[in-house]
Amino acid sequence: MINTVSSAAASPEGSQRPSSTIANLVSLALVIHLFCAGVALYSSQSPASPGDGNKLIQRLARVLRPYSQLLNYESSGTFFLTHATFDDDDHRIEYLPEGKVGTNEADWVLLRSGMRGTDRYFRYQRLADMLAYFGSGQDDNTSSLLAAGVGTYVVRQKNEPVRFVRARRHLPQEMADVAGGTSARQDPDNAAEFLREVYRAQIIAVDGEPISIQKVEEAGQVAPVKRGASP
Amino acid sequence: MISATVQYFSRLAEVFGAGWNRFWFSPADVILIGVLRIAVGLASFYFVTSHTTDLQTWFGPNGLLAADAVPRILGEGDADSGATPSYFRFSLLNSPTASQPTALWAIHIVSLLVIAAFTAGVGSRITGVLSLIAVLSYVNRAPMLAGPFESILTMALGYLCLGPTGSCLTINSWLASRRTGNGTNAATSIPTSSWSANLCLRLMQVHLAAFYLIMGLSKLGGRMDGGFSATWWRGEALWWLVAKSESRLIDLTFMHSPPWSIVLNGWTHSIVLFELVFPILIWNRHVRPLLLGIAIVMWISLALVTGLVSFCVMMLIANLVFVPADFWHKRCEVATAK
Repeated sequence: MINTVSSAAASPEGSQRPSSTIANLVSLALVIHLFCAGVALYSSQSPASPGDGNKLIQRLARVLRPYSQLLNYESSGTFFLTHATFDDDDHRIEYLPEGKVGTNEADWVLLRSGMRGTDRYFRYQRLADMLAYFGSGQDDNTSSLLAAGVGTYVVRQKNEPVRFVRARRHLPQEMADVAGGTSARQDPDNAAEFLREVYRAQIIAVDGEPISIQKVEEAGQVAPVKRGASP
Repeated sequence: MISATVQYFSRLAEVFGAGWNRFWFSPADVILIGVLRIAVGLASFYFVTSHTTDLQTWFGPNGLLAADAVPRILGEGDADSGATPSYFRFSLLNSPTASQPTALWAIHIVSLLVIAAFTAGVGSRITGVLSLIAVLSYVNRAPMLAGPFESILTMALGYLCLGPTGSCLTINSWLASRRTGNGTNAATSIPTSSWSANLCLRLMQVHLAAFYLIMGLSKLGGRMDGGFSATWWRGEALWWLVAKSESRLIDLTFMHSPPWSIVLNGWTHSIVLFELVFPILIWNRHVRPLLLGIAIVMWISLALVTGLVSFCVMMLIANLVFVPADFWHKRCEVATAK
């Protein structure tokens, strides 16, 4: 057996088993709990497309959500580590301060802190993953909320005027790139080859008002800035 | 025929019931739960501490994730309509006053103190629950920032609340043994057994085995038809982790060509195989040491490749639940002898 019973003195609840009443009540709670946890775990497998989801599990997960969400049993579904899809790629959020043109890489400021490998570092990356996911998926509501959060932080907390916020996807190298690709393809951080902009939004900051967002669909599409507007 | 069937099911119920009671309610040595308390407590302390320098950045008044924006981002409630969000993620950091710097820092410092107390075994019944509330508060405040590390951590911390985690390996018992000076090390003084300790350990074991199973199955959840590419089936998945230049801790892209690419294929397949085999074979005490040894190698290698150090360390901590109590008694005896 896994658990060995010590030969030393017993604790107050002792080396004895619980009474049958307590055992029955605990067993009932166990069954319910294991069912809830099982449904939550099963529903957090690699995400399926909306059309082929398991309807039974989805409905069960919805019913049990008060319990599973409270205890964080509903995971973010990242246990598969990678399926080599775009969603698994690294992403980054960058902002362009006022006065910068944005044509040079150096003009953009990377929104990230912390040492690689730390949770602090990965939190910024997860935010970038979300912005890229919703931004490239044309979910304007959610991407706007995220971008507005970034704008609010930079403009109102860091007191830096900002023109644009963007999310870029960092494509991974393929084996062929490393084996015999061009010198540009052999550099994993080459922006032209491996960094793709998937979302860009103009930050509109007006005194006394919440930060607003104008998504940039194509070059040249920016909102007219009100005269006198300043962060 | 009918009576034979009835007898069969009656006997089956008896055997199942006896096995159930033996599995869940046999007394277990509390030393393992004390070890887990310390390890999980340290992990929880790290988790909360990791928010320190970015507390205002994320949760402050003009932070990246305003409390009222989170449910909208998650699609869990329409704040514009004034309706109550439909999600159930409790967090001390969700209240309007919690975003103010003073309140935010107060919650943060109290959380650290509570978790430190739990780790040291001070009032562990209460500090355990408070630690869980503290950790869940950070997780639930911004669920989109949580990864697999938080899933394992909250699972382990939640189950530890059920057991007598303060029964041994506590600061109080250590200080007491120093005061009495009777030469006994606190770690080996009066080990006890408890059915609630067993319940706590069994829940962790079952849940951890389920995690491994889900990890393995979800890796195989790829399709070849242009949906999710079946990189784990094809043995390519490790390359796509190695190639993520912003995440990895070491550069293993030299493994792009034979014979290293074959090693990469084998590495990929072995991870999936291990995760599928673990939940089945871990219950066999003869195979257990081998599986735990392989797990150490696997999680350390994945930490270097993925950069998810905290997740991999947390998996190693969680794996401790399968280490027998005798192992810790021997370690404590060695420490005492020194």
